Parts: sequence; C-alpha cells; structure tokens
Amino acid sequence: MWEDPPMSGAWKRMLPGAVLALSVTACPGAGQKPGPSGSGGDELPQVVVFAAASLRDAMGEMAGVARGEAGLDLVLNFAGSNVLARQVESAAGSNGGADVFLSANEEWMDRLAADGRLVPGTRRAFLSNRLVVVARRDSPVEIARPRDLATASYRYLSLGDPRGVPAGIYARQFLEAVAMPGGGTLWQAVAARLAPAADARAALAQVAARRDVVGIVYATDARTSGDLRVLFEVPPELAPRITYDAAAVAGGPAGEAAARRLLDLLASAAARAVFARQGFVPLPADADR
Amino acid sequence: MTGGAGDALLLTLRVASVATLLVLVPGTALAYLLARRDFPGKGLVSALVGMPLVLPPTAVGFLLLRLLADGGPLARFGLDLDLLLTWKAAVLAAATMAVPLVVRTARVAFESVDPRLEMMARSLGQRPLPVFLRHTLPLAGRGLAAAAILGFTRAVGEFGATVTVAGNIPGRTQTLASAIYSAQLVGDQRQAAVLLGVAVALGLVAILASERLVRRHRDGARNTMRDTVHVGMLDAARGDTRGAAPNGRPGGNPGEGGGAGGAGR
Repeated sequence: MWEDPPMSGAWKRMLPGAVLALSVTACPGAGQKPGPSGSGGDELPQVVVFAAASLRDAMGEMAGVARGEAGLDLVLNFAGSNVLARQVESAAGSNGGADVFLSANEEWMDRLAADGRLVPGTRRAFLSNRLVVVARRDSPVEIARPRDLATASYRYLSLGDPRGVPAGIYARQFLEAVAMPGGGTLWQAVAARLAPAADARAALAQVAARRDVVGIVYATDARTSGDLRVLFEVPPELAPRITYDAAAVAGGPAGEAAARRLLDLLASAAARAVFARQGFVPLPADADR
Repeated sequence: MTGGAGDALLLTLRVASVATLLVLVPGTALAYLLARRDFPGKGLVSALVGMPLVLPPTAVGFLLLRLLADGGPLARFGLDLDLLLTWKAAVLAAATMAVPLVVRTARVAFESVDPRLEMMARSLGQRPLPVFLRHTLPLAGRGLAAAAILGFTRAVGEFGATVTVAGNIPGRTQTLASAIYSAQLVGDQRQAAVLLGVAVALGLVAILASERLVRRHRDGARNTMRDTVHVGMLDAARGDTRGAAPNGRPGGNPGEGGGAGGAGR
C-alpha cells in the first residue's frame, strides 16, 4: 500500500482528459460548411448558394421567394466573399460545392472566372450598396465628416479585414480617397486604430459591443441592428463603386439549369423588390457582362 | 496591416501565462474542495466547471460578449471592466476555457493522494492548512503541474472565444491562433506558413519543457517529498520521530526507505 507510488494511477486517469484536451485544442472550429436551410425537407431541388455575409437577411427572405416562385430550396452559406471564393475553389466538383456564388465585389468573382470556375455567360452585376459610419445608439461619439475620423475620440475603427473582405476593401478605398490637410490620407491617419473583422457582419458586431468603437459598414448592415445609429453616410464623391456579382458555379451539385433558374429569379421584379426593401440598390438588368 | 508573427507570439505567451496563473490558485482550491469535501450543490458546481469543455468556444465567447458588452448585465451592476477588444479579454476567454482542464486534472491529482496520509498528519497535531501545504500539495504536485500545463496549452490554442471577445487586432489582440486564421482568411499563404512554423516551434518547446518538468518533479518527488512524508509519517506513527524532520532525507528507517525508493520506477 505505502510502496504504491500515488501518482502512477493519477496519470492513467488523467489520460482521457489530456487526450480530450489536445483534441479540443487542435480543432479551433473555424471550418464553414453549408448548413441545411431552415425549411428543407420536401422534394424541391436544392440549390447551394454561397453568399456574401452582408446578404444574410436579404437572401434569407429570398429563400421564401425562391421556394414559392421558382420551386427551389436554397441552401445558404454566408461568409466574407474572400472566404467563399476560396471555398468555391477548393470544393469545386465535390458535394460541398456551390451552385451559385454571390460576391460582394468583382475582384473575387474575377478570380473565380480566371480560374474557369464559373459557368460562362451567367455572371451579372445585380446589386449595389452604400457605406455608412456607425456607432452604438448610446455612444457619446459624434462624427459628422469623414476628416473628423482622424481626430475624434474613439477607441477603434471597425471594418472588414481590408486585405480581403470586400466591405473592408471598400472602406479602405473611401479612407484613401480623403486627403488630409497636413498631407497623407485619412487611411494613414486612422491606421493605428483599425480593428479588422472576419467579414462585414463581424465588423458590425464589434461596434455593437462597445460604445467607444465606430465602424465603416454597409448601409444595409447598419439597418439590421436596432442598437446602432448612423453617424454619417460616406459622401458619393468619396464612395467607391460597390458592386455585388452573381454567377453560376461550374460543376455545382444541383446542375446548371437549377442555378440559372435562381439567377433569373434574382433578376426578377420580385427579387428586386426584396433587395430594395432591405436597403440595397438593385442594378438594371442590362448590366450583364 | 500585416500583424507580425513576433507580436502574435509574444501576446500569445503573455495571454496564456496570465490566464494560467489566474486560474491556477482558485482552480486548485476548488479542485481540492471537490476532491475532499461533500457540500450541497457539489454536482452542479462540478458540472458548471466542466461546461467550457463541452460548449463550443464560440458559445462561451458569445456568453462573455453579452456579459461584458457596454449596457450588458455586468455594466448594469456598475461593473464596467473595459475588457472587450483588449488583450485582457483574450486572457478572460483563455482562462475560461482553461478552467475545466485545470480543475479536473487537479481534482484527480488530489483524489489520488491517500486521505489517510492527511488524517495521520492531522492526528499528529498539524493544522489543516499546514497539512495541505506541506503534505497534500507536494504529493499532488505532479498532477498539479500537469493541470497547469494543460491549462496553458489550452490557453495558447484558444481561438473561438478569444476572437469573439477580443477581436483580431494586429499588435493588440491578435494571438497566434487568430493571426493564422486571419492570414488564411485573406489568402496570405506566406504569412500563414510563417505563423504555422512559429506555432509548431512553440508547441515543441512546450511539450519538451513539460516533459522535462514532469520528469524532474517525479524524480524530486521520489527522492524527497514522498519518502519524507511517507517514511516520516510511518516513523512518527511508530513513535520514532527521527525521520519526521520536515526536510530530512529518508533513511531513518532503512527498510521503508529502500522499499519506497525501489517502488518508484
């Protein structure tokens, strides 16, 4: 009894915990897979849509329209367009692939087009959006003009990661378009206070967390939270041209015909009404490319 | 914009160290209570402590975010900790996720200490706290070191809760885990590869260091603590107080000392 080293049993009993711990540590859980849409189940053909995070509410509503008007069951996967573009590339031809990609900018769609991932002739610019600068409703921060972003008292300027997230790239283009009186651009003036986020909606969440954080977000995203107020809208002369592209992905699981049906639906008057109600600017149907 | 790998590494080490230290003392105390005492609601406490292990880290992060947000419950109670989107929030997230590992491992360590040793020491007139500090703690030492190491490694790897409450701000709240996520998110393969290399190196160093620590502690425990305590107690129980000197080497009783030393391997 006394000779029995007290710890040897402890190690054995700790082993499952240690193994569990290592496996937990090894899986940060960052993977994103298309989840089932809320109302799947019956015989309607499923169309997998990879959509920019800012389209979450609008495409959620469109899922109902697609079901009723086109007989399609939408399976929606939302993330930053940069993440989605990479997912389309890596999942092409597999069961996890997309039928339709809705990108918040043209660059990521260009990249897929260059790689031959799109069905030729299906790409279309279908929406535009606007940028606004927001803070919490109860925030003491007051900023009326772009230039004041350089001097105003706030902790962080939240935006999508400007290295890839379209909302952040647009925000950077706006900041770079503002020349400062002492030389340089507003982008350089705010660089130390930037808080990049994984996608447009994540930037919004950072603003919602703290009173002393302001953010550059889509006008449509700002509307989705009742806790935020718009400090100012980015003036048109400083605003980058925001374009959402839609296209069918080659080799998608639902097939080209179903993807085309959804794209036609997105161009329809019913869809344009949905997007307009959500604050987007539907682009004329002749914006084909 | 590109967060330096060095910044991320330093912040990761700082966050994980502070989080581990933060959890270790109260976690050890709680583990001892769970191992040795019965009290009402013990099952509930044990379950609550284990929750971060079974909850998705993002769920823990969401909970912390709601608790700490301006205008959230803590703020309404007048407790404005000013944590969100700071490195302290990363510490809180990492500490929360490390709690179950530290407490559970420490609890097992205490449970594997024979309570009769403590009873004996107490029967010899030692107060409970000295018994705990002089006998229980050293006897559970290896398990407690394992608890600290597990807590630290969990804190190093924490991502889901951290990114939710601390954000991913280069040079301020960007840990190795969030820097890797960020780099692959924006397709910066070079930066991701550099960070991966740093993470692998850190992991190797941590594993080698922990094995060394445990081995040294094991040898140390065999040579001094366990034998001193065991032999000393046995001698004391027999009325022979020579071997019970606090730092005395074993050998007061050749038979017992040799037996215990030999059984260590």
